[in-house]
Amino acid sequence: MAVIFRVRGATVRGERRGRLCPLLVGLALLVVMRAGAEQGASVLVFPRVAAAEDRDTLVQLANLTESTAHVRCFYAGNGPPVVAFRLELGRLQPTMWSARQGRAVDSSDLRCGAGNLSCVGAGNDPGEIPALIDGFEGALWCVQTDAEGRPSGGDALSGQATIEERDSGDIARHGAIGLAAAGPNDGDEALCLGGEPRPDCPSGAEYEGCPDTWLLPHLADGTIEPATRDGTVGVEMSLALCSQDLAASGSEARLTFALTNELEESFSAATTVPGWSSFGLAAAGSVFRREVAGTDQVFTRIRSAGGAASGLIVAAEVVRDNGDGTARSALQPLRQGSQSGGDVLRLPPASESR
Amino acid sequence: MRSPLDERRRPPSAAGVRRRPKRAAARAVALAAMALGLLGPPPPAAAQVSSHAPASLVVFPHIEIDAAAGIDTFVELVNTANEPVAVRCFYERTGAACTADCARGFFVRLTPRQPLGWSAMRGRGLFPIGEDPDSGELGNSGSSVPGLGGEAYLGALRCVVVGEDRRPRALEALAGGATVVTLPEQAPERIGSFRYGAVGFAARAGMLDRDDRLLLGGASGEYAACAQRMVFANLFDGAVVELNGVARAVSSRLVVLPCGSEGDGSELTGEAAISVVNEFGQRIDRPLPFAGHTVRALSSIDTAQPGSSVFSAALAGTPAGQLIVTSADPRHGVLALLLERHEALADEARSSVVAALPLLIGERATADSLELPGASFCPGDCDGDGAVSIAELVQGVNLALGGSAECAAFDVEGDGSVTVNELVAAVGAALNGCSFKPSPTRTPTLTPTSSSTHTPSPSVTRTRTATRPTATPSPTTPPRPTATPTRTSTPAPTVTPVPGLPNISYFGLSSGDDRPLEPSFHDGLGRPVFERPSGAGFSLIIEGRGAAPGETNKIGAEAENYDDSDPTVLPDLQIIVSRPLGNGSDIVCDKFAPDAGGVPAVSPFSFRVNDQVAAAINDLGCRVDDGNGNPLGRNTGNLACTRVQRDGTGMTFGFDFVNPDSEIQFCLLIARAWGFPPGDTIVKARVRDRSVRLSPEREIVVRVVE
Repeated sequence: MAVIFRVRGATVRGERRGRLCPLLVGLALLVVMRAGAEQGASVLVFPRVAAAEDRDTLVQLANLTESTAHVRCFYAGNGPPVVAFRLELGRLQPTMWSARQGRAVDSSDLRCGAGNLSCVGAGNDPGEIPALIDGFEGALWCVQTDAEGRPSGGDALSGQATIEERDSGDIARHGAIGLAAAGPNDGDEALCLGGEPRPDCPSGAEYEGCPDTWLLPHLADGTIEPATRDGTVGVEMSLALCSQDLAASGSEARLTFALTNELEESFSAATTVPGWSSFGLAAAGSVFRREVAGTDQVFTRIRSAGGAASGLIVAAEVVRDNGDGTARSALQPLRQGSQSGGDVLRLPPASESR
Repeated sequence: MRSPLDERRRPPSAAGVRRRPKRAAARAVALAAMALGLLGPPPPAAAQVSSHAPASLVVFPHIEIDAAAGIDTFVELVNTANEPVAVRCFYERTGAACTADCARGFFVRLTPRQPLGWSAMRGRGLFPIGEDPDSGELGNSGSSVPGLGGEAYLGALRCVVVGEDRRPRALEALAGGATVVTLPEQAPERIGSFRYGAVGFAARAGMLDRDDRLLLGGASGEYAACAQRMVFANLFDGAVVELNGVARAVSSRLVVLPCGSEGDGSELTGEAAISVVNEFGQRIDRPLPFAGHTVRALSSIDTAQPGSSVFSAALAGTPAGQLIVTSADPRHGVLALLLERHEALADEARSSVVAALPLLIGERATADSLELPGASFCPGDCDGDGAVSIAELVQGVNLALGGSAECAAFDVEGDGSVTVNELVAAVGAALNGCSFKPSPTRTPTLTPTSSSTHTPSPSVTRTRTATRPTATPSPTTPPRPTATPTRTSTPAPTVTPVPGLPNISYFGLSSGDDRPLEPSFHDGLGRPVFERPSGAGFSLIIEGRGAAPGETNKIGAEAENYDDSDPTVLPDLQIIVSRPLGNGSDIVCDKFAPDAGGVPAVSPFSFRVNDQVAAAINDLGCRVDDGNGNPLGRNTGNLACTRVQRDGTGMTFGFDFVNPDSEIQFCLLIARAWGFPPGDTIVKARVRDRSVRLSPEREIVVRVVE
């Protein structure tokens, strides 16, 4: 089946099954989609995934294009080893799995129907997705590849992760953060995210850079819930570094938080984080506490700076607690700029992906 | 499992994949490089529509209120730019929901990087920063957000950056989000919330004609075009997802509204198209008619029988899918938001809703227009003539006193009553032509210098950027907390006042020669830690400031007020310690030799109302000295027990408050009989004003290193 992309008045004819190199297809897509608003991604980061007895995460991943998308994914979080797996998504195919249960390739899955609505697993199985061990907290990284597992462009991916608390029933949904392809891709395991050509990325960026600054309008920790005036509000944050080796621990970066309150007063705090971390904002600095910030509403800018700078991927959750119950909602931060120095994200060797 | 209807697919394993020679890969890279060269640099990025970047125009697609059901929406709006912005906003509801007041406009001024929030139900009448008469900076003056009241409301909110002439202005400064909070009155345990980020439209450089009709997209578009497609990852209606043994059924509502607006509540009707894709990759298209702000149960879009809907898992065949909403109508683009409910089958109380904003892809070829409504909301302007007259103010006073006349313009908070704050806002509008100067005005804050000496040098900074550098010099590192705080140069222990409350404006120590001491460092909780070589020979200094001018707002002066039969009788200064001072004697006020004793600790360390805490508060408080031997505060600077250095004037040898904004100071000399023990002792204090309002509590740590 032929797929035709119109590129600046020229027509490039390709074939879905890879006769035209996927790199060119990705490149063409990149050019065509730049005119749009948002777009699919070639690197997708789910910054907050949890699998435990009291909470689980429903991961949804979709192929936005009319071409088959090959994907390598990696769970990397609060401890090694990284868990790797491979997926294949048909044209426009969405898929879903529980992080704690994984998803098997099972041809006996029954299709959903009026008498079978508990039908998770129905649909084309995209590949064997391992179940996570209890207690896992971390990020899920998915990288679009060619059919052989080499990272490539394509900007086919989008996704989201929904964390469900078993006892309270709270759910919070975090959109995955996507990085689009941005240049020639050498297909190796070192992904060059943004930046100019440099020794570890001689051809420059293969993907767009991680955001330079994250913007969070939020309520200060301990604020009386402003709509109901019942209970208090807290904010939890999850962070993944863009400069890291997913297979190895030891990455860390210095973060700075610049906070402005409703009185236009500025505060700052700083902390050092590993490749992935999750914490209540109040633990990152007393400036996030209502009694220190001084007003209910605050605006926080987060960036990495200094010698160990790294791009960041950020997710946040607002927790409302009135003593009788809790309610969680995801707070999708805004992004500004692109990490100027670029990042290198090192994937585990392809042989480690099933 | 594969669907029999689906195309044949290769197995997902890599086993059958034909391997490409490495030479081909190299050729591909070369081809790509050539292609890049042929294509040249990518085209300049167009103005974007996005939910994750600041913009000149932001849309909150779903504002929901229903007081009877305990539903309200909390709106957050922030100026991300480092310059002030003025913003025109309007709530809109259309179609059947619109019976009156279909577009309610208002005006907000935001200072650089300032965040603001308000309840849609109650609105906001008071803003924290007034006009600065010295610099002429406007602060939040003229701002007012009307409350929509508690009646059921479904609609949208749109805000656009404008200049001081209130005409649209290109500045990608606005960001925000809305949280719909549910708190059923009879079931507080069923609190629920979902939040979404506002959709932002960037301005196109040089394209704004600055009139009130905004063009989104198109050849002469002033702002980014509406998206051509919106893609949601969804779960189909009726699907049951079981996680950790709890089965939850999913049902969704789709919110669709026109991307543009007539600004007067006119109902824009049109049709979008939805493509439904299941996990087999199968796709079905359905039309989606809309009339203004439309909220539809997903599986009612195409049929009255939910089980027969293509949006149901029963028909879709898989639990997960993609919804692709396309702006198909040439007249109107659409915005969409998906609200997905997960309801536990065994316990419907445990249900929650999440909001999903779509990925916004592509641009509509044709322009949408957005008409800004004319008048801005003006508190007290009953007749809507853009001014507040004396007669209207009188009417407002009558309403506040329980009168029956109707004037919704006074009820800024939409709670059915007129409060003093609302009257003040209306008076401000009368004086300043709907550009009222709300109170309280900007509260100057201390900007401590980071000095390595022990010379305290607080200075008043009345500039707009009252910056407090490194409020937490050594924040903990959450993933790897460290018990040892880093010593850095630290600011004086000033604290940011909480608006609307009395506050402790200074809490620290002074040395034996009456100089305020800088803390040695701040601990992980941000508390100043004062290291002392001895547990006595210094003073505890507590200063206070009322919430606003006026006798009733003044901080009371009593440091001792004890009734051993009534623990609710307490002084205006309330102060306790976490460890015993001196011998920890529980005799209240045993401060005189030869029987001088110590002060007991309070455990648990809080201001609980009981005999033990009341006694401890008075035991310590009675040692406060006003200079005449009385346990009272000092209410003028020249009576202060501290000597300070003001801006560049050198040591004056005069006495003054440490914080020049303080209105009272309590001095408590630590004598050996009630000296601090070696190690860390936390001191907690709060003050009370004459209206019996308590300040937030403050803590310091006294560390005696022997």
